[in-house]
Amino acid sequence: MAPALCCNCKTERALIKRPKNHAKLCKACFITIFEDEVHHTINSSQLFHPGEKVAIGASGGKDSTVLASVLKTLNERHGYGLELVLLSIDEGIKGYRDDSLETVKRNAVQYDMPLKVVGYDELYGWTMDQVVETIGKKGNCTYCGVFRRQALDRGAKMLGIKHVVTGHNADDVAETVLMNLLRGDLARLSRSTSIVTGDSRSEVKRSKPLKYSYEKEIVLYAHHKKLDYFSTECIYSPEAFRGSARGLIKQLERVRPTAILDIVRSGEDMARLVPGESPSSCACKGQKSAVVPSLEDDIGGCASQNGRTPGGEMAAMDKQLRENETHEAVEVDVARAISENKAGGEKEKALPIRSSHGTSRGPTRQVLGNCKRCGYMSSQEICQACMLLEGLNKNRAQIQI
Amino acid sequence: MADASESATIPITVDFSGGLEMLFDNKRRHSISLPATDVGGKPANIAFLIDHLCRNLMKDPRAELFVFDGHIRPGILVLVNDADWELEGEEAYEIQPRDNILFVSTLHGG
Amino acid sequence: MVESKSSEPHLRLCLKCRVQEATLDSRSQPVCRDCFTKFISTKCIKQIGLLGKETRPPPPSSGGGPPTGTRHYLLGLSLGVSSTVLLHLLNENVEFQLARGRNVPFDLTVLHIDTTTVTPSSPSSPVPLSPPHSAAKKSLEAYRAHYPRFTFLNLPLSTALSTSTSTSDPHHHSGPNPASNPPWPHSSSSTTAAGTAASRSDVTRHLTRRALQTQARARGCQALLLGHSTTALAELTLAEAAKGRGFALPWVVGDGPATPGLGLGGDGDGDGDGDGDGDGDGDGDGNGNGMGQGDKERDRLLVHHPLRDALRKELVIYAGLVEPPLTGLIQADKQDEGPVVSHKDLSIEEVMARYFAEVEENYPSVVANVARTTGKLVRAGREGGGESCGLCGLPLDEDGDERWRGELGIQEGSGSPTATRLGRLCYGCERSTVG
Repeated sequence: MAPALCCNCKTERALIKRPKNHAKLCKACFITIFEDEVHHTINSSQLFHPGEKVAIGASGGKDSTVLASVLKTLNERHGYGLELVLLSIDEGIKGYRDDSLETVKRNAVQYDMPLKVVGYDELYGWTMDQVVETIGKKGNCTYCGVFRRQALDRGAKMLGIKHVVTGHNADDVAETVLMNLLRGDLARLSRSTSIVTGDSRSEVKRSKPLKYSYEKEIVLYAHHKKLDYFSTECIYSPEAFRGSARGLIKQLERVRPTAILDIVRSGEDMARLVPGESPSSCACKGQKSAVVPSLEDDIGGCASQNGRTPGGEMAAMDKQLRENETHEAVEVDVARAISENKAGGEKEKALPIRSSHGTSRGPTRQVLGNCKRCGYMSSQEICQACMLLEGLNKNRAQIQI
Repeated sequence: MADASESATIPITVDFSGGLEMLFDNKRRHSISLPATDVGGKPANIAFLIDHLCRNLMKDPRAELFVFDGHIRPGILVLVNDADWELEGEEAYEIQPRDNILFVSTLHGG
Repeated sequence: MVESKSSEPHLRLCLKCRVQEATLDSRSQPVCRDCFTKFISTKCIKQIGLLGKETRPPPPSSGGGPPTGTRHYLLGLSLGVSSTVLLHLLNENVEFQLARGRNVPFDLTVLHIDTTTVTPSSPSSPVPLSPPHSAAKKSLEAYRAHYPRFTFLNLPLSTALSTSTSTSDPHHHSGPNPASNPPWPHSSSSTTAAGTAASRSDVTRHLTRRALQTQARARGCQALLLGHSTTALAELTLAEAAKGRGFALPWVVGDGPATPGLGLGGDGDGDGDGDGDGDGDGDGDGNGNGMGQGDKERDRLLVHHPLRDALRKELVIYAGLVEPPLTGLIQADKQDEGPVVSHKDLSIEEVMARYFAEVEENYPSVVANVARTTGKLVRAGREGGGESCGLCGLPLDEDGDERWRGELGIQEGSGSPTATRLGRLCYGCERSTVG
């Protein structure tokens, strides 16, 4: 096969075939176009303002490393005037974070950015190793994910930063769309596709500048720019490709590479079809409508899995749905159904992924308040992290007895 | 069995990254001698290489993290001398001496 | 003591009737054969009952008076398990009513759309207009013998898309015929998306659905019945989402009005005219769907999925349980498992079918939840008399298109949106035809 030429510069050998449009590009053109597209997203969604202090949620993995690299490049190239900081979370998993934290430390030097590491132990009084000791490996991803989401916000607050960017990519968003369809959670479906979460009332705004970037291109960008990133499976994460939405997405990509962005598109469009949602959430027509409240649950996943659903998710979902079926025959909004059931004075479930003692709230938009215990923004009286902590602390007390 | 054409091999390097190295002795780069032809006498291609790697190089029992339904698991990128294998004919690409084949997983690590 | 020990563990009683031995496992309950078949038919009859309330029989052909005519439905028969089971259950329902001395509840026309003649092996090869495939023809003979009460039709896709009810003259079209004139570009390179298995299957599916609606309207049917199981609807939901068709999903997965007028030339002279008060539908499901005021009563075709509450695996079991088993009638699924030639050569539907086969086995409640969820989404488009897609006939999403272009920016290598000879295409169909 004669080597194909780059369709952009028409001189260099093409090394990349873009999933979104089959375009064949050489290395240099690919890197430029990839960066240009992120720049376009940042512009069209008006993600930043000059002088803004922005924390990059950095795990040392490919997505956040690419995000840091691209933001540094664009900040300099286009004069965003951003003050970029790397913010890293230490879950307290021996032998896992050690290496990835080393990577983040090197990144801090490479990109000339300050680094702040916040540990679960300082934030919650528990390391993940201790959590696993107490509850076992099953379900620990839930704890890790819930703790992690708050950890970034709390870390940012400690630094006096009001904007956290994360490396969530198009594959992550597409996965969340499918998961929310499977889960039947329309409220979260409409929230999860938003590029920015957190409104004026929340202390920390979240955004995902790589929302439209294919994971494949992120990996290729890191490869061709020879970025220093770290990849390993979280040692506590179960190997669960089977039945996972992630595996499904990758198979769809193989059949039709555009499918990933097409799912993102579907998710955005369906968000407008959720009863009670504003008919147009067009970012270019009005910033306000594009900004939706960020809750602790907008994208699931743990540090290593970054947005991907942990293995037990489907089983837990099925179990919950079954319980709902036996309760009130047909209730569609699972999250709501659970919180309503809970309000009826039910005991803890083994794996309270979305459950908590429900305050009654509107059908789609959840009413934001603050957790009574920690003050963190939450749709419930007690936020998820505090709920989980309560269970853990009870367990610890029992073990000590 | 050991006739000349069958024992001929092609020297290549195979790289694993993105978490796949853990399936292959935690080593990123492997220099291997790939048989020049498959059992049927056809020139070695990527499909044959993948099979060869599973049989001979993989130290981990979890082959399903690398292959799925007899093909490379969707979500693993294959680069042939730095070019996306989709530009090179994918599984049908015939391997040349001193080729570098890189397998990168996108399935691990955020 | 000894006796009970040895016999009890072996004989499981049906959890429903508590009389017969449980030989089957239904939604993690042991049940007997009779209770299982009853369970399935009840699920279907309930839906047929709902449909009966939403449709009104046509008025008598001459003169006034109360409507005495019979409801007329069209059943889309793919020759697969689900639509065959639906056919069987509909027949059973009619027999049941007749046995009780009641009127026939509905007339049924069973239509098989033969797609073997249109799926081109490559986009450049001309589309043959050959007579209906003989295998399908043979199958239909068997169906006809099995269910003599109903009318059976076998139409090639290209013929069925035309609104003429005459089957003998395929040239008697009014308006463009997308099947014989596929919307993908003829001259483009070999890598156009229409060349992939996924895209061919997409286009064929949309045209088949469209053909069924066209025929139902042309024959004055009040409803088009489709055999989708819970599992099939869940697959459809995710498959449509994966094709960027989320916007139109409620139209495709829900029960309710078909997309009004597909803009395909003159309508057949349906005999459903004249029923003055077209009760504004759309209650019940709270979808606020409602058709444009200007739509004619004959356009008020409903699309229903009476098997929406049964899992696919349950229908497969059912097909083997009835006497005589339906398995002899059913055409083997071509796409059933088997080794994968290449992950790339599957269609999106096949990927979904494989995925849901697993999910259905392990997490049936998740499957059931998907279709229920989509049922809650609003049917958008059309109210303002918006445009529909020239291929699938579903509403275009102008706002979404505009926003999407804004978000992604102009991409290299992609031309302007395609205006085909079918008119404008929706985002999903654009994907299917030009990639």
